[in-house]
Amino acid sequence: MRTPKRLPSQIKARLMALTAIILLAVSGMSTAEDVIKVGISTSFKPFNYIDSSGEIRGFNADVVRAICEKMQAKCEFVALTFPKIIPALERNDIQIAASNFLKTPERLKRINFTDKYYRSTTSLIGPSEDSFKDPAILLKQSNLRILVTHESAQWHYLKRHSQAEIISYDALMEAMTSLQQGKGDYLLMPTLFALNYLQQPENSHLDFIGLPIDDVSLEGDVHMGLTKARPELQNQVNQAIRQLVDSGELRALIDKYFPFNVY
Amino acid sequence: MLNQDSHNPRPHIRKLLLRLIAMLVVFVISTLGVVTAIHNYSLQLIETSQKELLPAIHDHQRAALNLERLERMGDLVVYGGSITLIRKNALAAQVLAFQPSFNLSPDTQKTVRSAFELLREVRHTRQKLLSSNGERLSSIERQNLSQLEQTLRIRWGEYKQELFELQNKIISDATSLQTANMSQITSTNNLILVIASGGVSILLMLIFFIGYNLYKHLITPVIKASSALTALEQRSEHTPLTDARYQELHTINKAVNSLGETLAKLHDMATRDSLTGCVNRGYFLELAQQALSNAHRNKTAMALVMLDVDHFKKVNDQYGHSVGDDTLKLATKWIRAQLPDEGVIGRLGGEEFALILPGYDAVQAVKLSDKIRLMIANNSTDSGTIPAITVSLGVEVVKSATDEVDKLLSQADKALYQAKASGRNQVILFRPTEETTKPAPPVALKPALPDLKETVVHVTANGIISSVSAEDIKPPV
Repeated sequence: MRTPKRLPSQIKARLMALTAIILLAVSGMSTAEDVIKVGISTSFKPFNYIDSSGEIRGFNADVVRAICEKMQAKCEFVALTFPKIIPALERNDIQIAASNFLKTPERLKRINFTDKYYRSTTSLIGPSEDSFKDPAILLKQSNLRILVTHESAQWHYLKRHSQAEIISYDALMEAMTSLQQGKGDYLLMPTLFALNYLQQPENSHLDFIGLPIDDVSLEGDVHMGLTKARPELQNQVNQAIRQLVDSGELRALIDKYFPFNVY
Repeated sequence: MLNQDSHNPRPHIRKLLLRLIAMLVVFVISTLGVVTAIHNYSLQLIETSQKELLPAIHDHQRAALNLERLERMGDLVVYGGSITLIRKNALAAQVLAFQPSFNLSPDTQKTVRSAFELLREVRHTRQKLLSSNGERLSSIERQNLSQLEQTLRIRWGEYKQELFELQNKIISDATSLQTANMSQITSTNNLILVIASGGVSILLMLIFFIGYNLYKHLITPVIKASSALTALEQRSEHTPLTDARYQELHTINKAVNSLGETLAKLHDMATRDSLTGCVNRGYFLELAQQALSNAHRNKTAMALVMLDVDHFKKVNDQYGHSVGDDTLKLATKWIRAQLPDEGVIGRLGGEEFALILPGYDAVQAVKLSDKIRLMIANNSTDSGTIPAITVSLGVEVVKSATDEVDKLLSQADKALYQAKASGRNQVILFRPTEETTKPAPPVALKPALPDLKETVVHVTANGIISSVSAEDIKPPV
């Protein structure tokens, strides 16, 4: 008596399961298509960091969120240390990298670039009593230890131009901590990143050393990186950036993080 | 003619039309091409302005705003009360002074950076003054620092003025960029307008030219040919058509011309006697009717004369028909020489002729007739190629408005008959009998024949009415 009743319900259950699987598969496929993975380093407050609730925040995160919104694309952050970002773009593990890239010929061979989203320079920072020293002279002294982010434009610059000992870190914050701990004499980093850090009252013992370093490879337009596997993204992201510039949204984001217009 | 055509082939109308259309098409296409090219250039300008000029203008605006921020930061460094505030703003001013956004011009860069150098000095000085270490400074050191602070503040004031002017300059640069861009676009659009209107004017000229060509080479020849055809139809005079430029019209003109010639020839054949060239009987009657109508209408005189070669049958029999033909030809030639311009000679049959003499009254007509009679007699005697002949003539003139050609001719014929009967080689004017007309003086030199109801008058060349005996008439030799 029970058997004939159970059979249809079993079939029903199986059918439902099948439908659910198909639906999942379809939705999974479509989301897999639409989601753009954004590589971002999370080590430097307030430009890119993870807040107490575990969410990625900061200028780069805000800009890339606005871009994704303009592109009507779903973006997903992938936290990576800076040296891992270009390889990830090359593998198409991530499609966009909001990582303050200066455009260099070596990088152009490996990844695509968006239009600029702000402009910056590079400065040496160190003890405030050295603030009137000339960084060009300091970098030539082989007895000095210069801290730098691994694979950054600054790192490449040091390798080419400095006689000092280079100590590199995957994350800028680690280099910063090392400077505080006296593991190095100076730190070479993007000026805009340094500004906020130096402005903190607790860091008043540190300062810019001399003026920003005058070298084309260390200053100018800052771009996001794009995977070469998705060439169409370049135009889409550029259009989104243009819209953000024209609408003033980018300026609002800049005002949130910087004391002047850095675009 | 065919050969001539093949040697000098004329272009066809199709060629004319094709050429005109080709001109039009080439012109329209080239004008469109030029306008499109300039339009594209204008679009390019707009795109350039959106892609390059607009960002440049925005760069200027940003630089101007950043200058303002630099001034504010500078103020806080120069007048700020706490070391933290001074330091914070001095750091920001340093970063800002070296921002690539000030790379607009070397001047801007230089001014901003030297302003920053001053701020750095101010920061240094004021930090020393305000720091906790400052309390350890001697009063002289403090005084010197305060003095330096004052000097630096004055210099900052000057720099601020400079920055302010720079800011104004950057803003006006942006404005002039915008103006230049706008005027470039406007001038391009004006150029489009000028070229388009120039194109339209040239197009109008071209259309005029095409119209002129069509008028000259197509319409005018067609109108001429059509009026020539109308003239042919109405049998009025027309000048032969000249050569046309294009084959088809040339053909039409040639056809019209040869049609005219053929028609004239046919008309001659239909109206003239081929031997003597005199008008034939039918056409003579037509012309006589016309002349009579004119005479009635204008109330002018008019005479009709019947003429017959005496004993012509004998000429034919004796000398053969060809001499007979020659005789008739020569006789008509001599008669024609005597006729007035508007006079007509018609051959009514065999050796019988008739004359229309518009404007001639009885005396003039009789006089002329006798002159003809004498001349034929003399000329034929002198000629040597034809036998000597004489002619008899019967004259009748229009007397009343009701006279008709048939009646006049038959009366002239009656007079001729009378002349023949009276012995030939004479002129006789028809005179109506008393029964038909009243006055008419019966001046008959010869007694009227008993069977005739009319009397006849015999007039000599002198106009003297006389009688000529039949014996005096030279018979054909």
